[in-house]
Amino acid sequence: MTNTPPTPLLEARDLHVEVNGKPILKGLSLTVNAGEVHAIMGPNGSGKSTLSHVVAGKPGYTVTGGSLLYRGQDLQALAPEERARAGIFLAFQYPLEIPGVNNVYLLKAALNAKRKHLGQPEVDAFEFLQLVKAKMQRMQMDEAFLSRGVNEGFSGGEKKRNEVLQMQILEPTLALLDETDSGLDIDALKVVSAGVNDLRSPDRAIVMVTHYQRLLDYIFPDFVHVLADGRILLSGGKELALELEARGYDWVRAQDAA
Amino acid sequence: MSMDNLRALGLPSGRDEAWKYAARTLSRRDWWATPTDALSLPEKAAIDAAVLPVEAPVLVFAGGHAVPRTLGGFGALPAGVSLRPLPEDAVKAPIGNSGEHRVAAIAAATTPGAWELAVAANVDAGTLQLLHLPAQGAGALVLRINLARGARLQLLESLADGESTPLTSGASANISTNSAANTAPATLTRWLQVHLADGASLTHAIVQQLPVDAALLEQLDVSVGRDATYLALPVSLGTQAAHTAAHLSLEGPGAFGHWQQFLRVDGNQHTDVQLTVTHVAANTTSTQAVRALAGGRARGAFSGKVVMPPSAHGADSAQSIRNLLLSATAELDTRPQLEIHVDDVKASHGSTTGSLDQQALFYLRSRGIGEQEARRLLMQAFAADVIARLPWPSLREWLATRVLP
Repeated sequence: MTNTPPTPLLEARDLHVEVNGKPILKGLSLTVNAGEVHAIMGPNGSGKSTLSHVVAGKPGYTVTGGSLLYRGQDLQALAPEERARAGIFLAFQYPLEIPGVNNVYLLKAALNAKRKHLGQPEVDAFEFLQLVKAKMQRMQMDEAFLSRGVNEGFSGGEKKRNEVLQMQILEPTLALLDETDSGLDIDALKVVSAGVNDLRSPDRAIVMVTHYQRLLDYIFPDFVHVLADGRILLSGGKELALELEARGYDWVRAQDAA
Repeated sequence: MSMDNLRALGLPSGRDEAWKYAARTLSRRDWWATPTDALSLPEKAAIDAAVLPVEAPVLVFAGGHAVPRTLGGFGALPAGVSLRPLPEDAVKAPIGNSGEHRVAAIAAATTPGAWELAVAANVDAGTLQLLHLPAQGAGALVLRINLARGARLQLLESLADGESTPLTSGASANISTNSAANTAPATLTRWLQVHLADGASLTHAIVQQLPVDAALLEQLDVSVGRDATYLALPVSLGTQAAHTAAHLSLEGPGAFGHWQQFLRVDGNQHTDVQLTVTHVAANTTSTQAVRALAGGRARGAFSGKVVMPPSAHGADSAQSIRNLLLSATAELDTRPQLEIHVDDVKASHGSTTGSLDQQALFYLRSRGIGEQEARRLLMQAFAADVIARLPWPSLREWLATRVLP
């Protein structure tokens, strides 16, 4: 037995990212291994969403320095759809409404795209519908969802549930949650958190981007990082979140400057 | 107006308001061929290919000729529905030479004779398919559609040249499948006069899938009686050049007039639609919804004019036009116009032009959907806004992918 550590699922090293020519991430380093749950916290405008978008491959987000690896592979070479098929999933902060594209159609097409990538046959239509219905129940979603367009006419909370439903169906290896708690009332937050907790597993990692500590009352992170001014200024365990809640973000900045 | 005079006039130029956005190439076609020239009816295979996937009795017109059942082989008309030729003096060309009614003038001068499709009072005739195919020497179609009091009809028209593959636009054209070996690209001239008596209801879908080198001149004059409903659902996919003039007149109180169109142009296609809705009577309602999609170097134009004269008390009109440009060289012109001469009415209009939503595209791709497939889904969704209103599920399904460029 050698003692080589396993390849991290996600590894950012001195990552610099520009959005529309404006530098947002300025030397961010982060390592996420399988089985871990990370929380990225930080003030507004610190680059939290940029991190999740650049990992998912959003056009317009340019890596200008450093490296970004998924399972040791350079992500820049992959189109967003290739990243998704390889197991990366971004739960959007503001999920899009796409009237005319059916929810279930999208789910099925997404799952089949992944299965094709893995060399598996297409999912059986009947079994798939049973699976969706079971997961919908878990997410306490209305049956009407089945016949509607993607997020069409959904409330903010319903959209977030739908993001987690998609995640449950697609079973990503690396799940990125972008402010998934924003706009949720306490009941919805519990449902959504339970949905995310279902996915905790030794071969999967979850990275939550959040502004508030509240989400971490329901999904316990193994690591908490403070992202400010485009870099990770401080990392710690879940007790760090409580300290941030009590002392605010300026304290970290002051400490970093010192 | 005499044939010679009409021919001498030619088609109106771009200085004529009603033809401002019309394809100039239209004037290079011969719209004046009289039906006395050698007539060649389409072959059975061409007719079969033009039938849309909806279970219904089928009527077939080649130019202005009704194709006899013995040649087309289609079933009988339902009870209460009749098709008959009108006497020669029944065809009255519009007076004057206005551009707005020029298509009707040409049709009246070049038709072999007008037809009347009638539905008797209080009869629900269900769905009827009407195929309209170009044919050498067959002249223009002049058709009156009369729905008596309380009558209902769903009319599904297919404008097609049966054997070619008109839906793959941009591809080199492969047309002229008429039994006559010769072949100028097809032209089709049609003038439909629709009259809905009180309480009648007509759903009028027009699937225009002519070959990409064909040309079309079309005029629809619709009068809608008290509490009657006219719903136009044009799906325009084919032709190199097409000009449609439509006049909806809401003449009885409580009349409804709806125009909900999907229009796709690609390659070097050029289509323009000139719609005028006149709220003649009080408490009349109209809607216009247009979804236009343009790629290549294609041009499309939609002009939607709503007129509310002093008699239009309580009228309500809403217009929604969305244009989707798929290339930098495509062009879509939209002209909403309101002419309101009365106070207590409602009229709204909205028009947007844009390209595919990049955020939506990224959302789909982030779920593993390939870029091409994601674009296809978004275009299909765009079209679905109008396609979804077609009352035949089998047709909606058939059109789902065919509406894409």
